[in-house]
Amino acid sequence: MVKKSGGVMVFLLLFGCISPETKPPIGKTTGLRKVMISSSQEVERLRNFDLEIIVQEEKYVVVRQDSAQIKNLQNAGFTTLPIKGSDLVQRLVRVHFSSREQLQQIIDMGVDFWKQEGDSLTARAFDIHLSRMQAAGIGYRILARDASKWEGEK
Amino acid sequence: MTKVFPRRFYPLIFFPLLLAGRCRNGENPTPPDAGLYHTFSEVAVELHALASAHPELARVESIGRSVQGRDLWAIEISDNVAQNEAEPVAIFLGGHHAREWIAVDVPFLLAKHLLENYVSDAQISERVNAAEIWIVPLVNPDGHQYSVTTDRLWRKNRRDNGDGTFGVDLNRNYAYQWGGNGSSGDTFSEIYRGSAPFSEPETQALRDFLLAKKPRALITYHNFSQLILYPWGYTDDPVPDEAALHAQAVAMANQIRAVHGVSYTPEQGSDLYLASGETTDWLYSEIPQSRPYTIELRPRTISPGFQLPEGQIVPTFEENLPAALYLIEQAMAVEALASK
Repeated sequence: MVKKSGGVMVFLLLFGCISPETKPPIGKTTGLRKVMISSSQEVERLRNFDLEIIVQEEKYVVVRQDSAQIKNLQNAGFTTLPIKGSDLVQRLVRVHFSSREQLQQIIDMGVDFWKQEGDSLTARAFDIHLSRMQAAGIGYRILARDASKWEGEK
Repeated sequence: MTKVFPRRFYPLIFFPLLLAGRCRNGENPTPPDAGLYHTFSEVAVELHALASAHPELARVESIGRSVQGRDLWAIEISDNVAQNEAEPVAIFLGGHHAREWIAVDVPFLLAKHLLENYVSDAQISERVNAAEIWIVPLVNPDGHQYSVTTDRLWRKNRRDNGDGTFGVDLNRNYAYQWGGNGSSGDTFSEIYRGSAPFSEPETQALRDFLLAKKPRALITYHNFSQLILYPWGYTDDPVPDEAALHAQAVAMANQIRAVHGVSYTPEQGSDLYLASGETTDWLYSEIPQSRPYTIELRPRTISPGFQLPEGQIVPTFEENLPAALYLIEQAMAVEALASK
């Protein structure tokens, strides 16, 4: 059994290594960047730049910006960096909804639906989703600031 | 849980695969370990081992490659597997969403069970003899690998979106009603639908495979919530043969409950919320006689949610086995009726 599978393994080894990584689209100017912050005043200053804040942590925010906005931020003294996967922290939230339409509205905001129970749903959400919910008058409760560290219902 | 290869052979078998994985993704040099759950490498090795052990009944082929170049392995199980017979096709898919590990192990264990019990179980030999059964346990190998090595809750594939974010939700990337409710155009969202319908090599491969095979029955496994869902997902409108689909879903739920007393709820996909661009809607739109279902496996609740304890792998498979056999039998019955 092992001997027969050996040929397959060699095939996988040889051909598995030559597949190229996919390249991102060339010339794309909008992207997510990490902006370092040291105080809440700096977050308020950032808001003046009309940016979408995706994640807001204690020492940084992740914003969606184009290359012109990056330059403006750098001119204003902010340090911007490429993001890493671990920068994209999501909250675990319980969201209350009043109708099927409102449930759909929440889903369509782009949250990561986990479970519906009665008139509430549990989801993973970025801070931008929470801002969208606030703007729509939808109430929520944060169960965990970092959903990946949530240890289940106590 | 027993695996196909004796453990003493694992280093010999996995080393080349691990090397291949490393030079492909360059993400993490740590050998992936998902405990009793199967990793991509283990699925690949064990599917080939199954086919080698049952050459008259099974063969493995790659139906395409992922964004990072991993093969989408499919195993065909049928009598006279080398011959192209006119038999009804039943297809079982797993692992569209990376973090749903149980949704990989259930279809893998189905393949293993069908082959290892073909001789001793008349119910199985009857189906294997009369149908062409295809199982693709891991549709999203890159995402699954990333979930094993780096981020347990990763959902999407590993497409570089070019803006600092990664991943497309493969189950929002199918063409039918693509871009509608329940999907997102934000690249960072877990339900990012991709830049275009079938933008991803994984869904392209599945599209071509499914259109070529024209299945009479399909189950795509996910977790969690214990649901049996049928089209439509994108609208509350019923499909034309909603009554038949619902009746089959109820029958499957009854068969599941009979094993360990665990309840799965049969309902239209949209009963939960509207979601567009997903597998079963697309397949039904292309092949209305295909009878496609999404089964959301254990658990029912968010604790443990996606992280189903290893001790529940086998019971989850055991309870889903009769439903899978029932759907194959239904495909055979429909084919027999159609050929009269």
